[in-house]
Amino acid sequence: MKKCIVMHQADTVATALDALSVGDAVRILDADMRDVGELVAREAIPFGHKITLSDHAEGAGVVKYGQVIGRAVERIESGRHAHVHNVASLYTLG
Amino acid sequence: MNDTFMGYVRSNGDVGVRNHVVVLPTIGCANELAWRISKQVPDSVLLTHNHACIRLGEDAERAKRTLVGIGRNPNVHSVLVVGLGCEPIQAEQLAAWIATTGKEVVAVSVETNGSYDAVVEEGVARLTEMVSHAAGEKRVPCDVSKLTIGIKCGGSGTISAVSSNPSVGYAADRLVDAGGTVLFTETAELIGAQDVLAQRACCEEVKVRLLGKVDALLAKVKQNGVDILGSEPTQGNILSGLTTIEEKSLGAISKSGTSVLRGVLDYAQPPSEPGLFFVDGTTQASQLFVGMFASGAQIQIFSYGGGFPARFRYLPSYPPGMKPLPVIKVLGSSDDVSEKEHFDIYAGDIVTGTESVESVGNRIYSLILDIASGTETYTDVHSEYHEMIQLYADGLLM
Repeated sequence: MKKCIVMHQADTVATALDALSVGDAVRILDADMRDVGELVAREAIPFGHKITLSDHAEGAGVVKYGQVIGRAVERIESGRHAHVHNVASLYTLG
Repeated sequence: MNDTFMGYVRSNGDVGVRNHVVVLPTIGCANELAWRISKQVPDSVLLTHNHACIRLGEDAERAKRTLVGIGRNPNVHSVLVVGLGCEPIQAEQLAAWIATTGKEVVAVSVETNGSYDAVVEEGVARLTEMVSHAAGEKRVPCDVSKLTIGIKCGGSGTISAVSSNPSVGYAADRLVDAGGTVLFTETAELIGAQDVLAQRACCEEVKVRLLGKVDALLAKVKQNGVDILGSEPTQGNILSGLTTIEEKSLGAISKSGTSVLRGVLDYAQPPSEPGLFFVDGTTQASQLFVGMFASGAQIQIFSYGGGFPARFRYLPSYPPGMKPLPVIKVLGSSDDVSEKEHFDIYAGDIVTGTESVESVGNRIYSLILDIASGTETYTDVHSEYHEMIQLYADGLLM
């Protein structure tokens, strides 16, 4: 089964350890590589890119390493690709 | 009992892991003259650079600290300082600052020696003597606490924080626990992670100084009216999955391990005690490595994520031409396993679940001791590419 890794228990995103295709069942590993669950990829997500573990409302914080790494610029459902097209840094001008 | 390595003990107690005789110009205008001397003495190492009269204020001070620090680094056995007579840092003065270490330092300059030809003649004669003295030095067992390691990450992606960075951090913790010193830098890559790192500060003063460095950089970004997105994270970082500077920074700091942060240094400033230190400065690899060397690092680790830049093979060989600073390259991404033979350590098996961070970290720690004892790095063996050192400047250039 394809895998993703969640770096902290409070995180709302995980990092894909395989290239994911639509409909793939994905095993979720914690930072110690232990199996902590499963989810379904709702779109193609490249190796190393992030998959959302929960729904994010527009403006909601995206959490990784237990810290807010940016805000959702639009609603992002669980299982989606979270990246520069839908997440923005708190340190950019815009 | 602590681990040991085979190093060169210097008269002030510092230990070199290399034993180079360096030819150091006082200023870029003396590069050609320094080259003419060095090329006649094959075992010398020429370190040309771009210092010029155009630097002001802190940039000029930083250039001075850098040149002095290069000369003082224990990997440098002795130094021939080559000057002109009209430059901001005179050869005799630079030589005197370096000589506080007790090492052999000789200054030659057109002003003092009388002519270009006289400098070449005297320089070649003295350099030949120094190379002969260096050849007589022998490695002896030294405690691992004598090591100072610089750490940088690059070619970063999300995988860096899964494999290469935490493995390097594991090795860094082992070194700090054994009484050694670890330096890490890249102020821009603390943005968004500064509060997390500040919790590891040994005291309030260090915490305030750390946060102050990040605030100063953010103020400068704002003052310039620019957006850091595009530089932080880079387009390459974004392709490798990093979305924001916060994410990049939080992953980047894992290369520093989990030790207490003992202090915050300025670029090219040496630490005053062992332990983990943050060095304020640029993310640009070649300038960064020169600064680490000037701060006293005997070995540099380049924690590489992967992605497209991993295929540039010698990219992490920066700083090109800084032969006295061995660079250990660690590759993190399992997606770039085809490139692993071009790195000193492959950490990608962590990603596939077939090796632990602890195991890779221990391999890195062992390799540090080997490299410290004289084993050559991948870059030492495979690349002779050489270019001028670029001194870090962030102010007005005339």
